[in-house]
This record gives sequence, structure tokens and C-alpha cells, in this order.
Amino acid sequence: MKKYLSMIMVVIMAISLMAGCGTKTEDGQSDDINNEDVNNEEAKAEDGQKMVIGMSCINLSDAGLVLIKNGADKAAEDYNCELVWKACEGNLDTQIDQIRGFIQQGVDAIWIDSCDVAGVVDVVNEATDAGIIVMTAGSKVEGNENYNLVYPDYDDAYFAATVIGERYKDQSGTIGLIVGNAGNLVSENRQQGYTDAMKNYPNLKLVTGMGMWDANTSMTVAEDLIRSNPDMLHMHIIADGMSYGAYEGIKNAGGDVTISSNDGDTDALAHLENGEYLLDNVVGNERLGYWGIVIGHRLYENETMVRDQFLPTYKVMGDEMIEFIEDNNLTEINSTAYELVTIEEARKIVSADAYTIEFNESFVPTK
Amino acid sequence: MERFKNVLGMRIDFNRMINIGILVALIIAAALANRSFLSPGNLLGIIEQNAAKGVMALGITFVLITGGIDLSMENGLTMIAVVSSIFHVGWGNHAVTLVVLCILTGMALGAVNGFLITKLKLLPFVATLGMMSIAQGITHWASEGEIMFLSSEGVTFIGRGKVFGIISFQIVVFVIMAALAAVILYRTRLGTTIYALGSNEDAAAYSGINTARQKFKVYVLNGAFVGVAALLTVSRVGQISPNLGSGSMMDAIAAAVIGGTSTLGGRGSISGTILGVLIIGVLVNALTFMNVPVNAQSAIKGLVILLAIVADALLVSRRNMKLKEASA
Repeated sequence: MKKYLSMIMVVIMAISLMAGCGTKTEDGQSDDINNEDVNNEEAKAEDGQKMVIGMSCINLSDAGLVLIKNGADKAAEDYNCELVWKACEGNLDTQIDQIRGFIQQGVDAIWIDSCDVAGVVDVVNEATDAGIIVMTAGSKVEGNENYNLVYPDYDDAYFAATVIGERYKDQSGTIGLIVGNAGNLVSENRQQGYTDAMKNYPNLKLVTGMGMWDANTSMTVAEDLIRSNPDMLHMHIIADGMSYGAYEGIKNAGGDVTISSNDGDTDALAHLENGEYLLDNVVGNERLGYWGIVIGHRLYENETMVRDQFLPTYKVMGDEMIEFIEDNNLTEINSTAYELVTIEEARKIVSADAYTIEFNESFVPTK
Repeated sequence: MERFKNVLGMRIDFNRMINIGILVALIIAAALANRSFLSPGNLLGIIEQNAAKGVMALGITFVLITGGIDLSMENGLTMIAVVSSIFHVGWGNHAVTLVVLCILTGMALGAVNGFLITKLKLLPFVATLGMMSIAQGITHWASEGEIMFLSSEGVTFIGRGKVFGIISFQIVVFVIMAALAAVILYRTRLGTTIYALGSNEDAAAYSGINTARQKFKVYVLNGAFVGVAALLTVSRVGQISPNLGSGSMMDAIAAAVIGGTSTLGGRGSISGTILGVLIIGVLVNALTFMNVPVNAQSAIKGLVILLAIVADALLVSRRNMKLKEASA
């Protein structure tokens, strides 16, 4: 009897595999996660005209990175490219080996979401020396000839903090900030921008917690920050994925604070629409992925552009906040101009219909 | 000292006193830094936040006492949450579905671990390390990296509801699971066998215990506890994501070890594990209340946990030496 019970348990485990069946159909692009057996024939283009791009990611389990992949796959389809995906699971040595693998395979370009910007410099230079176009996404890698695909994390966070500082400049209290983790460049840039701006408002005390890019941890951190700071006025979370957990934590702890976030994901836009969030920053992860491949294709076509390519981002909020920002002349801060959009406009910006047009033949990269 | 050790007729061993001392010291330090720490909302909040980890710690206590280990708990928790939630949403959003699936999937995970260890004779470290990767793969495959929100009333109550408007349902579940764990460990034949397996497996076999079958049961039991932990985690945050269980395994094992459970087997207790969970929970919460710089929090947390474990290890070593001298 117990033997049968154990067999039933194993069957239940096998059935759990079915949970992944019949959901999304995969697109026609090569989608080879962590496959160490990609051979030379797969990496080479059949007709010599198709651009082959090696895509080296930190992981493909994070929701944001999955969206980036979706956008990149779409761009590859539109621009007749072949993408070879590999994920290093946060291990620098693995990433270096994967990049070297791409070099050996003779790909046309390599797109890198580096887990250590200093650690990949040497291998990036190896790739550019081999005549391969190298694009490093999300952070600046100080290689000799690579292109950095970045978005203004510091400036965007500075803007968000300044808006909140102005909003609460006549009050004293605490502002909460939930970041990703120490050592992550995106997290550190966003934290630095927010912290620097908050220094202009000594009436507001800034307290910071690490959400570890995880909604569950962010929920706990948000609860602790609310309970330890009863005078909290606002909480900023540097990524939408964490913000959903933080939002639940704030409710659970009985907090009555305004909330802002970053990324402009669909669910965050819904929170904005319901008045639960005050402000967000539209990057659009699918849009980001699409843009990266477009830049790569332009470089493959020998277009000249500067090494640092910036993805335009937009500040999204409700009408009341747009009015507040315009009335207080906050659309330009420290010579940096910020474009404000409504929630509806933000939804359009991050949609495939819009970003395929935004980055079409008439798109002008950063010159 | 004897009177102190026999508080309210209960014998408190010296190891437990050390743990209580650490807990009290943390509470005092945090309260001095910020009075809001002692608010009922915060104190209950600490237990609520650590209810899922606590349930995981209770489950791993059984495994550790037998001298085993389960490295698949963290990815297993995420897998259980993701798989169960997908079926829960697809089958009508009933909370009961989620509850049953979490427990059953957890038990299935435990059964696979148990099968690998007892039938295929793999070392627990190796077997559960492999299952850790498999669970991660199933999670990625099933979730495709997407976030899914759970919004049914039943699930919301499990995650954030309050009994009599005061006590979080998460705390209620933790207390029930702790009571169940205590009954299993102290009042059942399986509990006696768990200690026997950890103390001397050969002697247990010679005394007629089917050690393979009992070990298998322990891993299935642990799997059930991981399933309950998955249920508490996913319902509390109200969404599934591929890194839902992040960090929970190390905290669960640390809690058990701080509470006096030996990783070599043969020693451990439910009350000790509960104290370990409280120490870790209070520590993390206290670091926020004391405004410790966020970049230093992980290192300080690790240091305090290490000190607690070292103190416990030194006391055990000293006690064993005294016993040897006494019997010599």
C-alpha cells in the first residue's frame, strides 16, 4: 500500500510538469535557454545575410527580463535577425565563458546584460577585437569599442525624488525607498539619484530598505519601514515587480502613504489609474528589448552613432500630478528635460504597435 | 540557578536560555532605538512575516534530526506555489484547490527526495541538490517568467486575513503547524524513530526499525510542511513570481540550527526551532528599527546568526566533555 502511495506521489510530481503546457506558443526565433550545446551551424546564418546576435543575460526567470526577451524576439523577427539566448544565472565566470563561446561561433553581434560591469571588460574587448559588435545593456561597461545601451536611471530617480520633495516640502516626515540589492548597478544608480535629490529637502528623512528584486521581501521591508516610521509620507520602489509586494505590505501595515515606482509595467499603470500609485517611469521592458536589437541592426548596417545610446523614458502620472509638475516647473531639472505622459499615452508607448513604429526606419539613435 | 532553570515547573536547558537571552537583548536594543518596535502591530507583524519561514523551519527540523538535509526547499517552495497557483486559477479560483494542491505537491516533492535517498541510496545533499535544479526548471517552464496575481477571497484571507480581527491567519496556521510538529516529534512512534535515526542509524536498524521507510516518511512530511509554507507565502504576497521563495531556505535552516538542532543528527526540538525563527525575525525587523544602513544589514544578520550558532556549539561541546568526565 505504501509503495503505491509513493508511486502516486511521483505521478503527482510528473503531473505538475503539465502546468507549463499549452500556455504561450513560442515564436519562431531560437530560444535556447542555458543550452551549452549550441553548435556552430546553429549560430551561423544559412544565407549569410541574416544577422546573428548572441544574447547573454543574467537570467531569464525575472519577469522584467522575460519581457525584454519578448521585445527582442519580436525585433529579431522584424529585422531578420537570429538570436541565440544564454543565461548565466548571475555567475560571472559562466557569462564570460558564454561570451567566449559566441566569439568562437563567429556571431555578428553580442548583447550583454552583464552581472559584473568590471568583470566583463576583458571579454568585451576580446569580442570587439574579433570584429564583433558588442552592446552592453542596462549599465556602462568601460570597454574599448562596445556600445552601451542605457537609460537614465540616475536622472529618472532624481526626478521622482524631486517631485515628491516638492510635493511634501511644507511638511516634515519620512520618505521610504526600497531598492534592489547592493552591487546591482541599476539599483545603485536609482538609489543614488533618489538619495541625492532628497538631500535638497532636509525636512524629509529618507529611510532605505532592500527588496532584493522580490515582491515577498519587498512586502516585508515595506511593512517594517511603515511600522518603524509612523510619520512616513511616501514610499518609492525602484522597480514595478517589487512595488506590487510593497503595496500589499503598506496596506497590511495600515500605512497611508503615497507610492511611486519605476518601469511602467501594465499592472503598475493600473495602480496609477486607480489612484494607488502617484507616479511611475515608463521604460517598457518589451520596448527596451526591441530597441536593443534595432540598435544592433543599425550598427550591423554600418550606421555611425555614439558609444552611449540612451533609451527615451517618460514620466507617467495622473492629470493632477501632471498639473502639479507643470505648475512647479519641474519638467526640467538641472538642465535635464523630462517628458510627461498620461496613463493612456503610457499604455500606448509600451505597446508593440507603438514601439515598432517608434523604432522604425525613421528612428534616430543618440548621435 | 536551579530555581531559574525550573521556571514555572518547566526545565529550561542552558542552550535555550542563551537563545532567550539573545532574543531579549535584540528586543531591548531595538526598543531603545525606536519605541515603535514594541507596538503590538509590529510584534505580531514579526510573527506574521515569519510564519511561512517558521513552517519551513519546523519541517527541516525533522530532516536535520535524522542527519539529513533538504536543499530543494527554497526552489521547491517556489515550484509548489507556481504550479498550484496555475491550477488554482485555471480550475475556478477556489482557495481549497490551492490549499490541497500546495500540500499534495509538497508531499510529492518530498516523496521524490525520499525515493532518491532511500531507494537509489543517493546522499541527501546530492539528491536534494538535483531536485533543487529540477524544481527551478519546472518553475521557469510553468511560469515563463510572468507574474500572476491571485485575487480570490479565500486566498486573500489566508494571506492577509485576521481571526477575530486581531490575529493574522498566518500566525494561526503557524501555531497549528508548530503544535502538529510537536505532537509528531514527541508523541508518535515516528518522532521517536526520527531521533533514533539521527542518533545511531545502525542501532535503529538492528532494533528492527525499517530505516528506509521511516526516512522516506520524514522527507514526505518535510515536503508537506514546505507545501504549507508555499501556501502561506503565495497567499500573503498575492502573486506568483519565479523568485518567490528567495532566501527562505537559509533562514529556515539557520533557525533550526540556532534552536539547537544538530546538522549531524540526533538532536533538535520544536521549541528550539520556534525560538530560532523568532530570533531571526526579530533580528531582521530590529535592523530596520535601528536604522542600520541597508548595505550592512546582510552582514550583521549573518554575524548574529553565526554568534548564536557558535555559542550553542560551545555549550554542547562543554556539556559533552562534562558528561565524559562524569562517566570516566
